This record gives sequence, structure tokens and C-alpha cells, in this order.
Amino acid sequence: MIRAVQLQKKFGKVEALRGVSLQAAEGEVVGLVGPNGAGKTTTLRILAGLLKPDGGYAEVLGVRTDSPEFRRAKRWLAYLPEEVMPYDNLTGRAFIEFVHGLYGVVNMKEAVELSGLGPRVDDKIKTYSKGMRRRLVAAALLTVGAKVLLLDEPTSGVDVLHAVEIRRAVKEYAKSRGAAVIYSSHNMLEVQSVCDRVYFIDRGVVVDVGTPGELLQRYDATDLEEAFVKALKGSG
Amino acid sequence: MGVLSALVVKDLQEILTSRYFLVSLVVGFAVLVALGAVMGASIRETVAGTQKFAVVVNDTTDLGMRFVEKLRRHGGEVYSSFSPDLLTRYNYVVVVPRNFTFPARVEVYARYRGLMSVAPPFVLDVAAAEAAREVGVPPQLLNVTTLVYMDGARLTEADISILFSLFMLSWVFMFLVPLLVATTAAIAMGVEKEKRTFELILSTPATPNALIAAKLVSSVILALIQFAVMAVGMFIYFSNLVVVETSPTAATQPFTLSISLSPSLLALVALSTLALSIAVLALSLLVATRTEDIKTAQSVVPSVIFPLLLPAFVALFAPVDTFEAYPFVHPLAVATAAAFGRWDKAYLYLAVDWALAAAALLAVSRLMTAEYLVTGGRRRR
Repeated sequence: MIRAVQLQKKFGKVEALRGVSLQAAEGEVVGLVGPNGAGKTTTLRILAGLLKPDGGYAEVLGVRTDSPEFRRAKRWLAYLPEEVMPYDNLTGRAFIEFVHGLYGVVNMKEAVELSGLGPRVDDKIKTYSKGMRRRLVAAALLTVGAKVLLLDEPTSGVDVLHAVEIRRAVKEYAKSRGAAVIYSSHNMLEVQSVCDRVYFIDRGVVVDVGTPGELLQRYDATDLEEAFVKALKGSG
Repeated sequence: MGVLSALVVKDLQEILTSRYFLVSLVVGFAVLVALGAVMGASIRETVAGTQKFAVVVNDTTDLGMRFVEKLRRHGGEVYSSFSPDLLTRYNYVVVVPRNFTFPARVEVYARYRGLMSVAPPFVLDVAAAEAAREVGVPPQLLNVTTLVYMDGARLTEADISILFSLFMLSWVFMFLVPLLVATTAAIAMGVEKEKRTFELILSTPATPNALIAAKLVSSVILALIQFAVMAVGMFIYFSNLVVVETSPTAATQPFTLSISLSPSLLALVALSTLALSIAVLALSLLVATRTEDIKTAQSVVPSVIFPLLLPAFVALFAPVDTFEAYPFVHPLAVATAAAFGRWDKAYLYLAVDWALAAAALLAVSRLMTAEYLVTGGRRRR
């Protein structure tokens, strides 16, 4: 459902991607792990059709992301950017309506439930905490019926209890709807618990890939964090 | 390094290297230079206008002759009879009556060259004061009647009142509306930049063109709401100030015009303003995408738009016919052309305005790709 082949991308003189290849199948949650500036966000942006690669190509739902046809395929894609913040003067409910309106769906009940905002959903967003805002955006996007989810730090700023809830929802979403999910995170525990396969990425290239179990075994590590550090040291 | 100096050095390093600060510095400088050039040209034109006038005198009193002599020394060229041809060569013609004495009644025939031409020339009072001093009487102001001509036709007081209203109205349309539109567009775009929502929106089925179209529509609606509130305030303000006096006798004279603020004329002004506002809006959206938040967008966008609207200031002081080809004075140029029945010119300017709006929209739709909106740069092939 998601396939990237030798993606290359430059911003001026900076080579953000130097040949990233990855794939995610139906019902699979794939982790994207790497240090700051490794190329995770650029990869997700190319997969979302926001950037055009300088080299290589990406396909989502069988359509190249740099082709005009991808516009129609985007109906089935939901991308949660890392830094996005909902509009202060809307209520949570109005924001969900706005996002659902872009996709042409109405699924308020499920979105409100998933957001965990309860009656606060009718308050203005400027009264929300950072975590509540993140939950709101995640809930709005997870309820548009997408077949492909691109999630960039979905639990950033969210408290432990609600982070667990979001992870559970993502995992369940992928299995029950057969959606392909790319899950970018700095939180290794999160990646280990949610992802079926994990890509280690550094300085614009994939350093290693495998299931969490395979990676732990390969690097003789007790957790994914240790495996990641060893993988990067080995590649550097 | 003390705390104070550390903070000051940090601020200077941060702000002096900010491109927004540098842009505002450069734009502020450019605006001042341009304003100086435009106002200077306007003043030179006015001075040149006051230096070029004719005096018509045919058998007058000694005091009248002294007055004529003073006017001649101030640059007036003396003729013995009045003819409309004089108005093609001079900005105004002073007619000295046979029974000239203080207080004197003097008629001035002025060629219409902006609102300032309606006011009596200052040189008349100077010459009168000098003549009075010579004969040892206290200086007294003249009672001047200004008869304004435009293309050989006489403007009545009602015409001048309407022209004044037209200028005020057009100035609002030329200057205030585009500036409101620019500010609104800055807010509309700045909020997306500040919230980093371009990525979210453009990864959905929404296209960059749909986003731009939405911004255009919402900005126009918001600007119209702002303008409506301001218009009501201005109406109340002007209704307390403007008293239009008509002169029924003057209207019956030959060569007189009868200008009216007809709905068709106002429609042309509105259409011209709408087209220019769309062009301003497109440019504002483009500039706003280069900023990072609402506050920066609000300060940078109007400072880019303001110099474009500068000639609207000049329109208050000088005739627009010297620079009426410039699109941002078209609401007034179109209105004036329509008021004098020059429909071909009015429609031509309107066509230019809409062509400009279309070109601006086309340029923006080509430039504003998803990549441009997300990263703030064009993709290099």
C-alpha cells in the first residue's frame, strides 16, 4: 500500500534524503525511527504528496505521489504533521467538522470519543492544553476513514494515559480496517509496542530494518533504544 | 558580561539578522524616498502652476494697475481681453475689474488640475497686500470667485461639490480598501503559517488552488465586513461635514457640465476597486507565505502594499491625468472618465484592471504549490 523507492531530496545544499526505500503493507504499522534531521519528516511529506522527490519515487495505494492522479488518492490518506496546531478560536467540535469537511465525511461521535475531550469538545481550542490539542488533531484524522495513515510524533506532548489510548487506537485501526500506517517517533518504547516492523534511518538513508524482535536479536540489545544506538554507531 | 548587556546583545543579534527587520528597514526607506519624490513632484507642479498665469485687464483704476503690476512681477502675463484659449496655455487667468478698489472682487478662471485648483491662488493676496502697502492703506484680502474649467467646459459649484465627493470616495476605494484587503489576507495566511496547518490541509483532498481560492473569498468577505463598518462610520462623519450648495443660475450657462454620481459610475468604481483588490490580495497572499506568523505577516504585507498605493495620495493634490495609466489610481481615473462621458477610456481602464487581477491570480496559482506553501521555497529542477 505504501512504497518508497530510493527517495532523494535536497534543500539547497543539504541532502535530506539520499536514497530511502521502505514499504508498508495492508494492516501493517511500520515505525520510522531516527535522530533529528535524519529525514523522517521529509519522507512523510513526500509520501503525503507535499514534496516532490528529486530522485526515486513513492507510491501510495498504487499511485505515484508526484502524479496528478494522486489528488484523488489523497481521499484515503491522513497525515498528522508533527508541529500542527489547531486554530485557537474554533471549538474542538468545529475543528473536527473542518477536517472531516475536507474529506467529505461526517463522523463526529467517533472522533469526540477518540479525542477523550468529553464536554470540553465544545470549548474553544485556546483553552486546551498542548496534549488536548494533539489528541484533537489525531482524533479528527483517525476518523476520516483513511486507508493510509502517516503519523509524525502522534503522541508528542500527550500525557501517558492518553498516549496509551492513541497507540491502542492506531494499532486497532490498522488491524480492523486493513490500513497501512507509517509511525514516526522518538519514543522507542512506543515504537516497540505499536510497530510490526521498524526502519532505522540516519542522515537520509535507511540504516536497518526488521521487526522489533529481529532488531533486538541482531544488535543483542535489551530494548529498541539500545539497538538503535548500536545500529547508528555501526553505520557511522 | 552582565545580564543587561547579554540581553541587549542577544536582542540585537536576533533582530538585526532577521530578514523581516531588514525588509521593513529597506521598505521603510524606499517608501520615504518614493513619498519624497512624489510629493516633491507634486509641489514642483503646483509651484510651476502658480508661476504660470495670465492677467486680463482693460481699463482699470490706478489701484487696479498697481495690483496688475504686482501680479506681473509675480510671473503673471498681461492680456487685454479674456478668451477660453488662455486656459489652454495658463493654469489660471485673473480678471481685474474696471472699478478695482479695496475690498476688491476678482474673478479667477482656473483650469481644473485637481482639487487644489478650486482654491484661490495665494499670489493674489500677496499682490493685493503689496499694492495696499504702496498706497498706504491697510492690506485687505480679496473676494475671489473661482470659475473652474475642464476641457473647455465650465464646472458649476454643484459639479465641484460632486467632484470633491468623487475624489474622497475614490481615495477610499483606491487606498483604504486595498490596504484593508492586504491586512486581512496577511491575517488569513499568517494564521496558517503560525499553526503549521498548510501540511495538514494540503495532505487532504484540498489542492493549493482550492486553498488560495478559499483565502481569496474569505479575505474579500472579511474586508467587505470591515469596509461596511467603516463606510457607515464615514457616512455619519461626512453627513455632519459636507454641505452641497448648488447654483441654479450657473447651471444654465453655456459650456457648463452636469456631473452626477450615477449608479453606473459608482458601479464602475466598485468594479475597478474589486479587480485591484484581487490583485492586491494575490500579492499579499504571496508575501504572507514568506512570513512565519500573524504578527510578522501583518507588519510585512501592508509595508509591501503601501508603496503601490502611494499615488493615491498624489491624486488629492494634483490631476490624475499625468499618471492615470498607473492601475492603482484607476478607480478615480475611471470615475472621472465616466463622469465626463469618456466611456471608451473608462472601459479600457476597467479592462486593464481585470487583466491585472487575472495575471496576479495566475501567477499566484502557479507559484503556490504545496511544496512552496510547506517549505516556503520553489522546487529546483
